[in-house]
Amino acid sequence: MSEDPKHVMADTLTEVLEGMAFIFAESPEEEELATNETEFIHATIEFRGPVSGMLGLAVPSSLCTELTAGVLGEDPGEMTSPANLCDTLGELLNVTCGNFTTALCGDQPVFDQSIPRVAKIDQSAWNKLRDHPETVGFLVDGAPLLAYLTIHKQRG
Amino acid sequence: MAYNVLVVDDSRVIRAVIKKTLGLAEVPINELYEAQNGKEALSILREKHVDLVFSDIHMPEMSGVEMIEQMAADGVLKDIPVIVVSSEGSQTRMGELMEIGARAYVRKPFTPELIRDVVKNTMEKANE
Repeated sequence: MSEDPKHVMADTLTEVLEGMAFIFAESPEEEELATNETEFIHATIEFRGPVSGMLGLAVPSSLCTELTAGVLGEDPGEMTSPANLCDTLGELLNVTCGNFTTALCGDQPVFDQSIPRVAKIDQSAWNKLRDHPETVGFLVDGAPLLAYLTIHKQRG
Repeated sequence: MAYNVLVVDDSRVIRAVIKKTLGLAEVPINELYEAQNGKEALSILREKHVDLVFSDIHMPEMSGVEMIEQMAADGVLKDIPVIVVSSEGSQTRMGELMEIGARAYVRKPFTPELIRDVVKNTMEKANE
């Protein structure tokens, strides 16, 4: 493992968003991570293997509608089920986690991934995540997306 | 020949994506069944005629691994090919899954071309 895990996570997430949702993520200016939205979706997943830790993603609900439409190849106006929105973010995180652990440690080690946990959060929780030093911000279709990585343990 | 396909994944979005991708890949489908976990899948497999299964690994109630193991131990279900669809990229894990009875492995994210090729190869081998 020679690369900075945070960079690997950011690159992997960008590739997954392109490959699954056909949406491109850019690096934002700091002020672009501020939003007037009041409802957000937050997903976390844990992984255990040669490196163990947790990945998290948070987006405004409106962006989750765009992501779901992108993944399903449908019109955002036709996206109605809130359950699908949570499902999409959890699955994007799940795929990011699987691809991240391989990018970080190669294709031999086996990692155990948890099932993603997804919940709605309010603006104060969003602000706390946004201001955390480990959080990486992206701009996706003009909306902010937050990602973070916590490494608990590294074997060897 | 059109296939009866069972898609097993706890994510309804991924089930929809696989369904859509099979269409884009022009895989001929007769019936498409869906299950949220291995337990539901086994129940469908015992009731319906299924030619091919797409399955995730990590699911609540019963994982894809346990489902494949139970299928391999069942005289009727052991010949139904299972294609594992997962985000994991470990060759070791893929080898373990093939050993217990999976026929192929597709890594997410996937393309219609990949799905088309994997289905073609898997069904050709199953019909040998």
